[in-house]
This record gives sequence, structure tokens and C-alpha cells, in this order.
Amino acid sequence: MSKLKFGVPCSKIKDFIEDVEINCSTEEEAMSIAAGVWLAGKEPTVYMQNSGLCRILDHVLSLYHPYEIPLPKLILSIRHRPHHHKFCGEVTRNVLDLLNWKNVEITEQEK
Amino acid sequence: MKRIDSIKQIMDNITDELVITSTGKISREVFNVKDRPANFYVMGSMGASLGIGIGLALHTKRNVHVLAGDGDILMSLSTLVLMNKLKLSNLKLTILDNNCFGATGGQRTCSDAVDFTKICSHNCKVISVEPIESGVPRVNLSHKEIMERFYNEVNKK
Repeated sequence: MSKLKFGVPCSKIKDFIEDVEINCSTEEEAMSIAAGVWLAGKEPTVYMQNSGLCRILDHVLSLYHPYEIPLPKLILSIRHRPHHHKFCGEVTRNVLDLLNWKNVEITEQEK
Repeated sequence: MKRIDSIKQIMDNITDELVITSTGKISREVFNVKDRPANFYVMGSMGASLGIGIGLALHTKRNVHVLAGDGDILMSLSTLVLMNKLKLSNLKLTILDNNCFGATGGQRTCSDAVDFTKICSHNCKVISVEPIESGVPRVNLSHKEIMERFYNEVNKK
């Protein structure tokens, strides 16, 4: 079962997350577990919808960056619809750039 | 009991466990009581300490002991539920409960409305401590130094 994947599911990435280790209750939880897994010498992957990306800003900026823990590989869905996803969808790629998150596999919904 | 006296008792009995401490004064007090490379002081990212402990316990054989405040655990209460679900034999949590946000002026938390050991009955202990600050100095190490020596300790051959 040790697939080193931690996150919160999204229907848009469900084909990539059939082999996960733990489906977490929150994206912050996934990020904190992934930090521990990296400290244990492994390379974790996290997965989430872009709404979750907005939730984890603090863990990126006050856990990963100051301790110089490499950001895990991120499997991310970018949603634009229905309407409540529109605003997060518009800024998601800017947020990734601001966080300097390089290792990202994106599944993007049509606008 | 004062929190720092509780921490002294805990750290007196620590041998080779990895110790993860939550942000704020708990990290400061553990640093001043018994600093060691196997301690990881979470300075910032409130709510992250137990998740870090779970990640470590999943992928090392070492015993992991998380020392967290009530505010830290309340901020990521779902992770306490996850701890109860996973029941990892090498993970232990001690919640030092002062019923307040000690680092920000002692504002009350909601911890008096919950029994953490009913949420997590596996290796979870709550110690009620007085809301009195010891005034010990800050952790005198950079984040990077803490990470590097801890990483080397966990991953030594």
C-alpha cells in the first residue's frame, strides 16, 4: 500500500489516485504528512483540487520554505466550473508561480 | 503543574525517540530543557506537528513522540481522527493543554469543550498544565539547521 501519495480527491484526477496511501480530510493534513515522509527520506506526492491549493499556502510558506523542505510532486486539478470554481481557477497558475512550485502535473477543466 | 516541568519529566524519559514539537512556546521549552538532533521544532505552520509525526511514523521504524499544544491540535483536529484510524504502534502524542494560545497573550481556546482522548484513544495523552509562561529564550537555531541535523539523524546509515 505504500505508494507515498497523500491528498484530497477530485473527480478530475481520479485516474491518478487509485493507488494512494491516505485520503486525507484536508489538504493541510496531506502537506504536513508529506513533510514528515520527506524527513523520513522518501519522496511523497500530494494531490488535490485547486481549491485545496488555496488552503495550503501557510504550510508552503511557513513550513516547506523556511525549513528548505522540497515541495512534493503535486497532482492538481484546475477547475473553472461550476461558477464557484471560476475565481480560484483564474488565479491558480499565478499561485503556483508565486509559491515557486515546479513539479506539478495538471489536469485542467475547459473554461 | 507548569508546562516546562511537565516537559522536563517527558524529556527525562526520552531515549532514542524522534520528538516533534508544535509551534510557539512548547518548541522553545523543549529546546531549553533538552536540545538534541532528534528533536524537530515546528516554528510556524501551526497545526502541522501531528501530521509531520504521522508521516515520519509511517516511513521510519523509529518511535515518534509528538508534543503539541491544545491550540495546535484544535487547528488540525481531523489529523487526530486520522491518528486514531491508523493506530500506528510507533507514534505517541502528548497534548500539553493550557486551554489558551500561550504565545499570543493567553487568549482562551476551546479545549475545555473537548476530550481529545475520546477522539483518539490510541497512544494519546492529555496533560493539563497551568497557563504560565516560563520565559525561556527562543530556539537558537535556524530552521535549516534544525531540518538538516534532524534529517541526518533519521536517515543515518
